[in-house]
Amino acid sequence: MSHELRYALFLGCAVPKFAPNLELSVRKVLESFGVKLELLNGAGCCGFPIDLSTNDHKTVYSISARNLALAEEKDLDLLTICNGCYETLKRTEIALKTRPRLREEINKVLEKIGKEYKGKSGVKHILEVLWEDVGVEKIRSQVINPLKGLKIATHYGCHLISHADDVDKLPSASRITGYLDEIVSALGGEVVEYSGKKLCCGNPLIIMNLKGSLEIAFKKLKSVSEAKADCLVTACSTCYYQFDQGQLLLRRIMKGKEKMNPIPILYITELIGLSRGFSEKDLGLTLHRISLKAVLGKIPSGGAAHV
Amino acid sequence: MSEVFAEITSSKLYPRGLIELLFRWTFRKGFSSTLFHLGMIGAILTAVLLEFSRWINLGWALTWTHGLFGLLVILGGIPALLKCLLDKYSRLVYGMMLFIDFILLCIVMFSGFMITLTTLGMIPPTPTPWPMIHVLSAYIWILVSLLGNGAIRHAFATLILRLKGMETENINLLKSACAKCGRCVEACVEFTGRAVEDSPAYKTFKLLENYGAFSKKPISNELIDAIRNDLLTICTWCQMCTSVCPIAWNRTGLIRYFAFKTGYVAKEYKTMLKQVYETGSAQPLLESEVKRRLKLKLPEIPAIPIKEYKVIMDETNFSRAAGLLNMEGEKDVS
Repeated sequence: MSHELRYALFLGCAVPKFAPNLELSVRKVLESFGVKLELLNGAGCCGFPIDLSTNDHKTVYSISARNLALAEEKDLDLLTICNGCYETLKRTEIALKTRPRLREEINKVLEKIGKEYKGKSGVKHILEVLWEDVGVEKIRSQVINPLKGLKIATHYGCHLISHADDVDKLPSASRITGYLDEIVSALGGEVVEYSGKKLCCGNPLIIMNLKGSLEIAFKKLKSVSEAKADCLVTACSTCYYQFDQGQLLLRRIMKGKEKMNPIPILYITELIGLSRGFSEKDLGLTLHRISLKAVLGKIPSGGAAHV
Repeated sequence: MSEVFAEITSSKLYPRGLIELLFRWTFRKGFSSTLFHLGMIGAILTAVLLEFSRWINLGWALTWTHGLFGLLVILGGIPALLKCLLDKYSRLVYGMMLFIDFILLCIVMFSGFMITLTTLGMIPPTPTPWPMIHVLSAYIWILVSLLGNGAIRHAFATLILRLKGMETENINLLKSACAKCGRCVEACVEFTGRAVEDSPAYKTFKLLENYGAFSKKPISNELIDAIRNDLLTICTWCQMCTSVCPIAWNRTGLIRYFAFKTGYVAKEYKTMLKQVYETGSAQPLLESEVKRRLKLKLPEIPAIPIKEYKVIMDETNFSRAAGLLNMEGEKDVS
């Protein structure tokens, strides 16, 4: 490899708490492609909760820029596996990189904690790293167990493509939308079209209205089930959690009123990991709430890709 | 202002320069719309010069330039306006003003076209005073559209907005700049799977209409109820309404911001914000969750310097404005 790929892994709040298995699969898969990851000392909330509840830009930018400044100290880019974190950090990155006066104002706040964001470090989503840095061709060529015959429905997650008020300044907004489907087909899987592909997972609503939030997830899962997909693959840790844990809660709420087959939910790196021959235990798949038996049965096993 | 110039000169962002900066929102709406906007700006500018040329003779070239821009307006405008008329979301958000704008603009366009034909000698002169109709209907349209929140108001307000930057808190300005295209409602219906009337984007739109620009007085209970029922408990904050908006107005965000500024943050949110303030994480880890990570052989997460979050949130005055400092007396919603 000509140059070493190295990122600061930004976990955010939800991944360590609800889905440590995602971190495990991200680490395993990226390391097998030669990408080095490290945790930042002192990284915390990305600022999304403040954006969601009060939309107070100054505080959101300050908290977000603090994390970017931490990455800058180590001369690394942030890598995030949650779309909410991605949107918040990306928006801050673009705003502060392009608006010098705003950067000055935010740096005045950061001065109080002895930090400064100069606008060098940025943030990348896991899909960008996989598609652009690792390369879809490399992923395709290193598949050991092709996912032939597996019908896969894909879900991006809204915050990957909605960069709020800076959407048209960002080239990746339109670029990134095809990545997930392309990676899934590179692994040999069949991407299934279903109605309501754009539908939100409903997670940010969970704080204010649990039932309403799950109802939206239900709509999505129902149409995935109607399209006869074997599983739903997401590129966002929060969407993953909402659909995985949500199905258990939905069963309790619905109380048999509406029947729905359980749909296995997979994160994109878990799918890549399976195609590269990692075992269930390697990827921590036992932590899934919805059984993956139907999916695992269709993937030929063996031939671990321990580089 | 200086930030706008910084943006113009930053060639990385706008490879096509000033034109893209002015029309980047219009470009996204398609060819006919771009043609219409280009023609309209040219036609209005030349019309202003023509008014002056009564005293300073600027010659016949100006009249023809005005005519050419007019042709662009007709070529781009007819398909763009028809698209607008046939679109149900556009009709829903634009309302009555869509038809008024449409009829008046049609009169302006038609009379202008007739003047051109007569001047070119393609049709014999008619007794109808086309020039007078053209000028009069144009003035009437500009006046009506400006006062009635129509297309002209959108044009001027967008220009001001562009110069002031998007982060303005002036709801009236944003309401005027709104292009009333209805794309936010369309996206909302798609992304939340709700009916049009139940969609948060439409309800937010109504909320802004009913409550005007919101007063600066403390927020009333009635308004809190409206914000809770029509926004906070139904909007999934997917931000798609913002990303499709031609003026990139984060409508749902602005209402949240307004509520926050006037002293209302929902209790459920407050609990979460308090976590961020006190621990630097919205979801602090429990002992068992730390152990689970270690069991998976994941590295330990470095501690978050809690104090730094407190300092930032105090410095921006967020903790006080959101009422995080005096929460002890209140009962938390668990």
